[in-house]
Amino acid sequence: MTKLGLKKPELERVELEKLESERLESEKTELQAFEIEETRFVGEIADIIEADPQGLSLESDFRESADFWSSLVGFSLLTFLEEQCGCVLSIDEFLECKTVGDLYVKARGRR
Amino acid sequence: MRFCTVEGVVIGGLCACVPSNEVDNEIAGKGLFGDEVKNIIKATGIQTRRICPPGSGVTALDLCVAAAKKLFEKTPRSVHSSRSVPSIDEVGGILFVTQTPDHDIPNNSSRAAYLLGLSSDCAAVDTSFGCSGYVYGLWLGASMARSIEAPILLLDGETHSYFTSPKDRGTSLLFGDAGTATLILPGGGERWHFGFLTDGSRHDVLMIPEGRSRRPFNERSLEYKTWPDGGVRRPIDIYMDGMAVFNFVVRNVPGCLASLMERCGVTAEELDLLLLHQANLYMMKQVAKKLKIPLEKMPVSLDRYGNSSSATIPVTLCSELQKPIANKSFRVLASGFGAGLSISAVSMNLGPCACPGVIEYP
Repeated sequence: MTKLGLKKPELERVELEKLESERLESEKTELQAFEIEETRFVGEIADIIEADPQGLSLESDFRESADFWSSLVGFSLLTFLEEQCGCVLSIDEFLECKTVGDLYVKARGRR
Repeated sequence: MRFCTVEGVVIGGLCACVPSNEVDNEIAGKGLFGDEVKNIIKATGIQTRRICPPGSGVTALDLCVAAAKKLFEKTPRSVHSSRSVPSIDEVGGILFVTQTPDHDIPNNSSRAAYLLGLSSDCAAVDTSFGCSGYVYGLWLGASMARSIEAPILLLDGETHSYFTSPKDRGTSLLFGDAGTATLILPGGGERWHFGFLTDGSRHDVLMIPEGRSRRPFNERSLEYKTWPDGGVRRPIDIYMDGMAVFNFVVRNVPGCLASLMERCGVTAEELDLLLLHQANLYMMKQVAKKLKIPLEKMPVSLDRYGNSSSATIPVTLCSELQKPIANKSFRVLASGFGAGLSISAVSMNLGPCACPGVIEYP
């Protein structure tokens, strides 16, 4: 149990939903769908979650692999998917994702 | 983004002053966050902060005046810089950037001019800015220096600790207090390139809700209450929707800085320093990465001093670059961002100039 008595997944949902409303209010960046190669994708994710890129693969749990996990990191991932991959994920879809591969599948499938 | 240029100005020196009272966030946050405090510290990057002891009566004016006095002390040029600091009698104007002035009336700058012994033949201006304030101060100060054709003393300081609730999860471990002094000299052929962006529609995501004309101070202003975001604060304490500010920054700052760099023809490789407002280490790193500027070029001081709002950029210069800027010139891109919401940025050369570093008060 943590902030406001919520369990961690519930807390992540609350905070990300708040960010989602922020995101909708923001002027949307023109989405540019383009192919993103797997190695670069993993490298970009490693950069965002501040993990060792050598130790990260599509099979890695991105929350567990993060140097530290916070909703700001989650939001940075959502922003990256939107701006660099042309993929807008709902909060539910994002929370379903566990591994880097899950994100990659979503990113490719959304274009 | 609005771009502009001021030509023929140079930084003559700068100095910072912080309270000697140090707060360790791991101890200060234990009660509110429990073991989670270590994660908070890792996320923000703030280990310790310098704050004025509650009730001490020390203000941003005191810290800034102390910094300015240190800057004007007669010190051997070889110690501080190859550029000499003019006499205080030569200063033609004083500009005070703060959101925590001593009083609403009169302004801080007039009092600072007196305390520093400036000639009465000087201009004195206060301006209210949050985290984007230092770059705004450079712009206004540079414009004043060109107009008056005399040195301008830019004082920039905050004591936000007096308006921060120790029971608020969003802000209790963030803010530090500091005062700084920067001397802006007219002359030379340097060009300072500025960029500004303002979004007043988001004024309520970083604000002090009560205590001024819109919601005047009243009998309940000092009472702590639980707000809709779960934070426990007095109405005169700072409220920050950290997520909204983060969203604004990561979506806008990299693009604004890239535009400014393109406009003045500077590449990431040519830059020596990326001086970002010290708000949150993770956020700063994300901005630098988006600009493809190596983190080695981004000095960090918030781990020891916290977020002193508009003062973080000069505090960082004084703490991390005291000796280098006394001896050589750096190609700098500096940016502040926050309350307003607003973004300010400047591309300029900095140094060599006098820099006595960070001093403590008292």
